[in-house]
Amino acid sequence: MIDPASGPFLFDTSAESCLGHPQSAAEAEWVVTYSARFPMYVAVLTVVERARGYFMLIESAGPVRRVEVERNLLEYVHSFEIHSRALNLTVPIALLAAQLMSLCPHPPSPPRHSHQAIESRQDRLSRWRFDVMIAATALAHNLPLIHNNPQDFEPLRAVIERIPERFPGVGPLNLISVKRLAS
Amino acid sequence: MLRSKPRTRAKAASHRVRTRRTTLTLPHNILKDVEQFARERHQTVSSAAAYLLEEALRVEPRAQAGGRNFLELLQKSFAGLTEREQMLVDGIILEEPDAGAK
Repeated sequence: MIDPASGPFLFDTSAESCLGHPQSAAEAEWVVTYSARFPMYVAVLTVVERARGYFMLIESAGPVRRVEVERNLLEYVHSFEIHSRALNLTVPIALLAAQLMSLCPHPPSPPRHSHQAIESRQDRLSRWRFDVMIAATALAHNLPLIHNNPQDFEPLRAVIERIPERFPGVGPLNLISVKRLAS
Repeated sequence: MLRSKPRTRAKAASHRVRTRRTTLTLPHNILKDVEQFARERHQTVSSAAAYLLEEALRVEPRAQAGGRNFLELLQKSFAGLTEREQMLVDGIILEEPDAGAK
């Protein structure tokens, strides 16, 4: 269990989704207690990643479904007026991300797939670069990163630990699995 | 011989909030902050701590309500999405294997 009062934290896109689908009363209570004390920090890249998904759904939906998804998007945007805070991509963050991308150019895990569909290599690479920029945001703000994909973030943490001189004044990258928050 | 306290002080004391002596174990840094806060306000550490606790107890229910509102918003932003749609708003774009060929 991670004490919500030990925040603030930066939430990765998939970690934020997990918190939006709490699996237990304890998980829901963790979100309430945390957000009573701290803003829900996300990287602005998370907003891009998520909003792109909503817009793609809206684009392909019929009229009724479109209204429903537009409502989902509005609720998401509204959460930024209430409690979420998006951390901008700044030059120092861009430099950190570029350094990480040069050291870890390839996605460490394979493209995602379901029984009928698969993520293209191009989309996988793009998602990897989003993850790198999210990690760089956490690093620059010295915020622990709450995530749901250790296979992607662990290599970044390891490379920063292995070559700290490439990351002067920042690090280590503190990773916390979203599954550990309330358990 | 013991002398009783002046009447005026006793009277003033009767208007004060009833207090109780207790022992708390606090994180070192929090105690230091409370001591600093008390110094700045020319208060005793006890009255500064009482003020801060009272303030926290006043604010906490509103903060908790804010936290519940936030969770509700987050849940609403994902409400009704299928598993695949949720993946899409998580940044994962899945395509049918022949979609690119079309």
